[in-house]
Amino acid sequence: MPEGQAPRPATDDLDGAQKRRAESDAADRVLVTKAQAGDRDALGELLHKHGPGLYRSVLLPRLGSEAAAKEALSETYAKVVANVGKFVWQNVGFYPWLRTVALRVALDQLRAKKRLVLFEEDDLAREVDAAQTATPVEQQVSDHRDREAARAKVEEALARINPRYARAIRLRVLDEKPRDEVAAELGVTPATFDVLLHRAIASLKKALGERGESSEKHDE
Amino acid sequence: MSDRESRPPRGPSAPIGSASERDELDAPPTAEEALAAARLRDALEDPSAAAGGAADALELVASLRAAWSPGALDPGAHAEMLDDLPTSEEELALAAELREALDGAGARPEIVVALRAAHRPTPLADVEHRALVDRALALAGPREDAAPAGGSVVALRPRARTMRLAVVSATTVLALAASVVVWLTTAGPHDAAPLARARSTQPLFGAPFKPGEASARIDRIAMARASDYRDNRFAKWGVR
Repeated sequence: MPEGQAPRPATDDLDGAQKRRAESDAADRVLVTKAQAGDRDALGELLHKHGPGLYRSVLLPRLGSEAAAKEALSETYAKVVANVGKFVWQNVGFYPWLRTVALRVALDQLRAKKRLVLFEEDDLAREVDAAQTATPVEQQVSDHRDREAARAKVEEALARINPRYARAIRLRVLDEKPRDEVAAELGVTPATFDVLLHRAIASLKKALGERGESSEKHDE
Repeated sequence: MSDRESRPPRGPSAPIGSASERDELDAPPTAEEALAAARLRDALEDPSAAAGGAADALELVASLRAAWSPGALDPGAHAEMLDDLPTSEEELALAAELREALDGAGARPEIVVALRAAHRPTPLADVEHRALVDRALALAGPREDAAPAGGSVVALRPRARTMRLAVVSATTVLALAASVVVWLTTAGPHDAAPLARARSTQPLFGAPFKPGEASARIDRIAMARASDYRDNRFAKWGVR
């Protein structure tokens, strides 16, 4: 290879990513235009493209159960169908708008149903406020950030309880290691571990409950 | 005989801070005292090496420290103590229930489900997602201005001119009547959420700023305007 013509992989990757994003945006824009003209297939294609990521990165971690997340996704789609005509293309793609709609649906659901979840109303309200300006244009980047935020929320919750309890939950519930293996790792018998984990879960529930109560008092 | 040797030792009744006590504090240590002092110093540096009188002194030091600034209990040690607590029958039953649920033999507690959903969310099955999309699109219904491409077109059978005229006339009359009803019932504000009105900031700058207040006031104005702007965007998107 002649001197001065060495490959620049990092730049090439960046260029490639930008090119892919531009192509994806262009395709989305065509689909949005068709959907706004009443083409249901185009709208369906948009939802098929962005919906699974929205469910996995935004709705499920924030609502804490598959049933709740599916209900929220269904409601998000109903709102999208009803309001796609009002959407104005602003060169940031379709996903940020879809994510904003989903976050608002999730916030309404959290307000309506008082369930024990890691995310609180205030967390979602802040995310909704930031959604319009802070959602990355590219869904992959946005998904990554949303997943990181959810994991940080898990760590935040575990930091509220005894480290030994947190370790038990981390190993058995999050890493899904076998019971006997976790018991050995913690230096207790499996039967003692059962009780330890039960107490750990009870302690976490109490900590999350106290957090909810303190934020309610703060609101008052 | 020196002055010190001739002085009687201070008894229990010797007053604190008296001249005799001050003399004792300033007196050079005896060989025995020097040895005991060295032992105490070493014991404070390394409590495991304490022996004899130094060990007694260390106990006193520990009790003084515990009263003055008690240290926190090591969380691990505390948890181990809790593990050793006697377990009630009810707790054993709950622990067994949790174990079975985690092994997949029962309903998992809400908190476990929420933790896993946040930590490692599972993807939605393709079939389920397709069903959700289809249901949403079915709600939309066919639109009159939809592009015919891709949709099935059913040809109408030829009808008599008079029949078509009658249908067109009747439809027109009905449409007019319906539009009047709609206009009467929905006159006034639309179903869309009201928008915040644009306001000039000029009147807010009429009064002079107090020293140090300029930034805070401008920040408040900017926050209020940003909030209005955001609300309007959500309203226009139909998601408010």
